[in-house]
Amino acid sequence: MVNIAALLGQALPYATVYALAAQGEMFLERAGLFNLGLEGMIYLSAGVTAIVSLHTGSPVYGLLAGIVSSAILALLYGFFVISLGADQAVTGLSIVFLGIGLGDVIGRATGGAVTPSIGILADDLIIVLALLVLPVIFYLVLFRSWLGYVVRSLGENVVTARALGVPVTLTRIVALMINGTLVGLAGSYLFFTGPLGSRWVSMSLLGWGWMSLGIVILGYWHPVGVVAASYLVGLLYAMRPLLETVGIPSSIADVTPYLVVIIALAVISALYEKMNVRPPTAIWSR
Amino acid sequence: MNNADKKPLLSLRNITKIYPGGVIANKDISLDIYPGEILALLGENGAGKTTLVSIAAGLIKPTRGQILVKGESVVFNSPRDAMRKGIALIPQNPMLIDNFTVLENLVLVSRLAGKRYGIRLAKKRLEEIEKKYGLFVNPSAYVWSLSFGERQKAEILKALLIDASIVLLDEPTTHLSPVEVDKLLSLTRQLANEGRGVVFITHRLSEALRVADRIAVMRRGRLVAVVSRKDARVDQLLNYMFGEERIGRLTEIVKRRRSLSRKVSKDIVLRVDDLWVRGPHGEFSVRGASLELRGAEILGVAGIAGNGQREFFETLIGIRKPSKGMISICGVDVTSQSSSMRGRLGVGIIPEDRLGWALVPGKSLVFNTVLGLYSSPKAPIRFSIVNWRIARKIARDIIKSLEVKVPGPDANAESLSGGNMQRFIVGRELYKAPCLLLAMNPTSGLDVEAAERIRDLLLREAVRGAGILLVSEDLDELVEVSDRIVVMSRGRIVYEAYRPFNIDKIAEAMTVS
Amino acid sequence: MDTRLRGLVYGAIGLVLGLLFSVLVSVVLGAFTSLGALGFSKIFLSSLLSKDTWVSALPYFVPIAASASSLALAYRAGFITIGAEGQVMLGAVAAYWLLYYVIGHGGVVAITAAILVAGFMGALYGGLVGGLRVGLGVNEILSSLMLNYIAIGIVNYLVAGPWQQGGYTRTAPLPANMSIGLSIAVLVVVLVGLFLELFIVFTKYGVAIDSVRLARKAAQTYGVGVASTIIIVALLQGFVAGIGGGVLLLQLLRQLRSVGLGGWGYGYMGILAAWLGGLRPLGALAASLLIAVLYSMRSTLQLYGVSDSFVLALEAIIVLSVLAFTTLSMRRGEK
Repeated sequence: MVNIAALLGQALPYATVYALAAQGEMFLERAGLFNLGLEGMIYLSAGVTAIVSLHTGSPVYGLLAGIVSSAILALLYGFFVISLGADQAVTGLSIVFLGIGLGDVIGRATGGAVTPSIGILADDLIIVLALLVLPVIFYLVLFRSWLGYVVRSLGENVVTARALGVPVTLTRIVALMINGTLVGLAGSYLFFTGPLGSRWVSMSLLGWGWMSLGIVILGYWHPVGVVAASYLVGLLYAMRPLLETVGIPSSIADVTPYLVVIIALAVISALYEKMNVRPPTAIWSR
Repeated sequence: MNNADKKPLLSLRNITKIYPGGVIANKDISLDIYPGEILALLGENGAGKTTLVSIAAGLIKPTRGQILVKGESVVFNSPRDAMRKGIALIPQNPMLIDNFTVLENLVLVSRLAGKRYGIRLAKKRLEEIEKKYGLFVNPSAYVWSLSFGERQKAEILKALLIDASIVLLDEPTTHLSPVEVDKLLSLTRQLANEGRGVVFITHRLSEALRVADRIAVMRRGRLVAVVSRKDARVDQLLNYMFGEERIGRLTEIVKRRRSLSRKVSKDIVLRVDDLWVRGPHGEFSVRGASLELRGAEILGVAGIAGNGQREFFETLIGIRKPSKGMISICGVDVTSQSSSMRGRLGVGIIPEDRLGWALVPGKSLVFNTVLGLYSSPKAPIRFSIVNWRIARKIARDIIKSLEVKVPGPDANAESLSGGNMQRFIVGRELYKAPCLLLAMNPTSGLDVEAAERIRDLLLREAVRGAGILLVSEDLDELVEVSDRIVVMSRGRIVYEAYRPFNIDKIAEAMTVS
Repeated sequence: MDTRLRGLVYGAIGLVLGLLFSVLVSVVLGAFTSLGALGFSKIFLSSLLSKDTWVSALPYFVPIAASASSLALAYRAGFITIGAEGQVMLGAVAAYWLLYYVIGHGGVVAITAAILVAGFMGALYGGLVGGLRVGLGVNEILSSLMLNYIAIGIVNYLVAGPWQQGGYTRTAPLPANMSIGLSIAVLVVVLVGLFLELFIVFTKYGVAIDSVRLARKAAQTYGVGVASTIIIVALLQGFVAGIGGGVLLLQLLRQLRSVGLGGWGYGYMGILAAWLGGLRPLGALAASLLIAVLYSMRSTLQLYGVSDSFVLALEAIIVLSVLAFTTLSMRRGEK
């Protein structure tokens, strides 16, 4: 009745968007910062990607421009939080609005025209990168190399880390750049292969950044966990049409991923605590 | 020892440090550390010893002055720079990442210090160190699972792993048992004999005389004298440390206090029966502790840090739930009650950390008065409405009667010095006219005079009739003020002593496992 | 200088500098619109100074101000919920349900009941977030956000299902007797904001709330129940935001329609206004007026070909500028 293999395949693009953004955020949170601005960064990146690939005719330029725009927002975040010492929550939330506002202004300038898209090969490459390569790299860097110790020490106890001589600002700026790059890539990829298919429709690429923040928690700040959680949520996303066929109204089917994630968030921490996996102390402690 | 023909490893030249608030922590200090010697840096709390070694270790930057390592002028922008020049600081409270293993901590530090140790190489070096110095900590253990003594060993391993030529130890014996102290001192000597320069910070004169080749005395941010041990005289060192007229005043305070008389009442104000408490990582930290405390009595709880006193204290004040056992206060069973019930019963609480635990930083003293009295019957709160006028008056009264140096009750709690902060806290808790006062390390970090004033206040409160439970790491303090001392080791109460105390017996009991 | 006065003075300096700076940034950004910097500034200014803009802003002020003052309370306790959006929506849904399907007629009692039921609905939603936080340690930012999307789902389900009226996905409009005037709506929200301000300044919960955020351990030690404080804050926050939704329905919306993933946006703008208002309910009311005015200017700007999303970016720029300058100013004040 249901083609399971097709469903598993349909989940891949969604999972890729989540995996890119959530891994970027996980790395940053391991370094002791949490950037709530993901939603805005993804949105801005998608808008910039749209206009640049339309005007240059090159999806690659679009992709790069999207990444740069997101990285600029990440740097703005860094300026506020690191240089000024401003509150992380208000900075992140403002960046959400800034990103959505600017992204929409920019994206609308395409007039809804279909832009050239990345080819299947590039699509596959990004999927492999997000779901297979990055988690391995992140795992090796974070848990099997001393550079990972440097990063994680900031997420555990930044005061001690600074006293040990860890270069706090430099490490965090690097983490922010990684965050901005991956989130930007997520936004560009979302524009090309997401529900819109390389055409800008205002206010329809919402919710991806927020969900990625939730996925970081579901994956409990571990690269493998984060990618697994990304895939599961992507699968939920892909299953929405299926739910409608069994008689669930589309309005309800649309929100099932959110419903499932909120329930998962409620049960997950107890589960992970049993497995002795710890979130970074600076980010989350009960 | 004759240093004349040796070149100093580390020279501090005219070091001055003025903190942003205007506090002068170090004033024009010049000091040389030679290879092969142990230099004791002696002075009371607040004399500026920690600031000086923090400057030498690159943790803070001096306002003025110069640092020379082996004759070469250096500028430290980070502890990293100091470590690369062979300077290692072993801080009073170990600086390790709790959720890392010992090995992860050590590899991190060695890398930052410029040593190219991977995990395997670091392990090998640790084995060599164990052979040479007899120093071992399980490398795959998480730091949170270690005792204070083990953490300190891990800190010393750091210094050895980066092969530091200058080792700075800041009050290293604070949290150690007598046996551990002996081991530490002989290890220190071994380090010096290898040609390293060792700086040993202490506020205990006896310790300085026991360990050092030379003694440098600091008072109120200045270096007062440097004497070699063979020329050192105790009375002279005391004068250097405190100044003559202050010694006179202190003796006065202590004499007056000893003349106070009081009679322990019959009423039991605190009863703890077979208390079991889990620590933050799920293990039992308190294992079957029982005790009784009567009105007008001061009961000291002695023990080496990390033996369950903190968890015990947190359970007594109601912010940690016991797994088993019973606590009753003034005849009321409060085992499963929160801290608000204790407030209603009139329990005064003086926690270990002044900012963030006793006081809310960034808020005024008036606000902190209301919070302190929040659940007390004497709170300026009626039907959930705060009467700020009365609150301000209470705060002003506390400031006046305890001579808290502060512009007024609206001053930010953060802006007070340690001694003033603690006097305000004690004043606030005494305002409750408590039947029971629970205090943990109330004089830690205070200079001698401020500490004596706090002890004075506690004693007077006992005279008034309050039962006082005093958890302290300072055995001298406990012996000075307690009527009775119990010793806590590995979460159990292992020994009970009455006046006159036998200090050796108490110290021995502290290491019972 | 004492703590409170110093905070106010340096906060005010930061606020003024921040607002000036954001005007500068807006003009620079305006250069990239079709109008050019000068044209944009002109239209922006004339629109800002026109009375019509302010009057037409008031209906938006209602839900934004209710959200903002309630969120200011929550943020003071360190409870970073962003659930006001969903609470406003469900408040409107509850009020519609009670008036249209249960009571069926207007009048003071019915309207009051509808506003209250909107508040209770919001409190329920807020309490859920607080309960998840306190009971299971669920991050409130995420749970409240997911609940916002679920609220959108609920509205979309109702207007396309049981409550649908006619061929479009929307409900029947409320009859004229089931409504309130603009002045009443504004009054309700201002009174509620004032109540929250007094709640923080004069009740012991104000002390509890600040202590829980700034020094949780101190709060616990001296008898403040951290869990109960968070629950109280979560319930009250939801209640007030829900009221905002109810009033919004009765005054402006009158019917429910299907919603996009962006939601109505009032609850989100309330977040900005709450921070802009310095986490004080009264400050949040003032900030909400500014945000609402900007929001109502979007139609004017649209006439000149500037996308309405531009206003959203402007709002964020104002908050960021004010944040930057107040942070700097406060830091200077501490020295």
